[in-house]
Amino acid sequence: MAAALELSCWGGGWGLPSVHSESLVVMAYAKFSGAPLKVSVIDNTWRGSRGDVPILTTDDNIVSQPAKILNFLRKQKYNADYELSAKQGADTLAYIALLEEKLLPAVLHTFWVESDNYFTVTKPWFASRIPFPLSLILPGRMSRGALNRILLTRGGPPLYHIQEVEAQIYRDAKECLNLLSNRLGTSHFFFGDTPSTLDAYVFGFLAPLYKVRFPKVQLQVHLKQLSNLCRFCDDILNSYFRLSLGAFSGVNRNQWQIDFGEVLP
Amino acid sequence: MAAALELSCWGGGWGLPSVHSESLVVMAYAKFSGAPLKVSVIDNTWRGSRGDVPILTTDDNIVSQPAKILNFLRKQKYNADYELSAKQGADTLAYIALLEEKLLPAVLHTFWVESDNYFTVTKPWFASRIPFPLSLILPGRMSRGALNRILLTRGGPPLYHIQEVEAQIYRDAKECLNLLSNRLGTSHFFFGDTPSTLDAYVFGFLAPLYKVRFPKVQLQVHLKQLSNLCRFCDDILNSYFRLSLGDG
Repeated sequence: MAAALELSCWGGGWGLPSVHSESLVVMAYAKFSGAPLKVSVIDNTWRGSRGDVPILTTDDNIVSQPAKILNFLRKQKYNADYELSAKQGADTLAYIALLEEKLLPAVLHTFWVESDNYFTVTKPWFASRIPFPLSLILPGRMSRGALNRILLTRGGPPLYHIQEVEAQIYRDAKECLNLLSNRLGTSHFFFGDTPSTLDAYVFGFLAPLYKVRFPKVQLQVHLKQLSNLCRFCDDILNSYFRLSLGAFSGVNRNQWQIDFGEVLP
Repeated sequence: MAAALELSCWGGGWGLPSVHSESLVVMAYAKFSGAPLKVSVIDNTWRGSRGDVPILTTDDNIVSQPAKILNFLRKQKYNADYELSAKQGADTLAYIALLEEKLLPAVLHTFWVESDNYFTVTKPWFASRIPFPLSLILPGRMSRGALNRILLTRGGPPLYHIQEVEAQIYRDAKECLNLLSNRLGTSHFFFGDTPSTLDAYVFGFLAPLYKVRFPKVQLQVHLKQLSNLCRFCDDILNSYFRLSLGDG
């Protein structure tokens, strides 16, 4: 059907196949739809542009951005939404918009803006996978990009102080998590017993928040109280990603240190 | 229950009680929930800040932004979502996020950025309701604000040309309209037979697009092909806003 599909994406840790939400969305969708992806983890020898990651490469195409990659996979007949009704398809797009509007700013803040988290966990993790001297520049640029995205999506009048923005985005994110928990209920997946695109997106956004060990964890604490969302993430990890987890545990020396909690209090 | 509720908002035209989406959302919600709003239309004698419109004023409170105004009305027991399930409440918020992400950029572009539309229709309309000399400044500022909002929500890497952004936002808006049409189906409202918050938002975003006469109308043409959405807007106008249309 399709030529070999290769996905270049950020690597894993803390039990996840990737710590990067957008990479996880694509990896989960590929598992759900049966697309045979060859996953190439980015390390500091990788020469491509890291701004566009995850990137899908075939013989004839280079596709970036999760929505475009998923569209490409569907055109290749790897379709996880085959059994959804039109209404469920519409709901999918609406809930993805909700995730991007209400949850993503706080996730970006937790990883890239909250100082303790950024300097202790995020920056060292990414810097070790970027070649010198780019490793001195790129993490800071990613951090400023995250801060801009947060301020710009919240920066309409009345103008906010960063502290007001922070309070609002965490309120919105907790409300969004509550909504997702209500919506999922006791089901295995959001639309019944088989996972679809929406499950891939929710998993991609939630799993890093759930698993990565940070100093400042208010959103993670809230998420852990929503047991059906945690069960949702764990089910997907156990069912679809178990065999490959062994490959990620020894990739990076720094990661061992972080996994064992030696760096964090 | 509550003291007199006064809503200051942009006025109407082309058969609408207001041409401004955010004002329309609040007006529709008030009708659906039975909140007794006294509507004050902004004209060029109005002294308040136009950046925050629509604004709800009571004896003790001044509330701006549609989401906050609706929350305030709900706390005053004017609740159009009383019969919705938790799932329908969650769907409401998701679909509002979809409207804001996929439809709003193209609506802003149609009104404020597309040159023919802005200079022929939008700018004269708003300028006549703003006192001199602010009338020379504020429409241009609103137009630049709309352009910024469009570019910033689409301006992530890879960086786009404005023409590429335009193509993408209209594609997204048409897809969003198709989704709404599918989701509404043959029902009267999005959650059955009585209108709720989601109906207020969809009406607020769609009705100006549907009714205002523009030179450049690609999104309007697409909307008019979705007959159930047009029927949805007309039903709300006829049922809830007919008596006051004589003033518009």
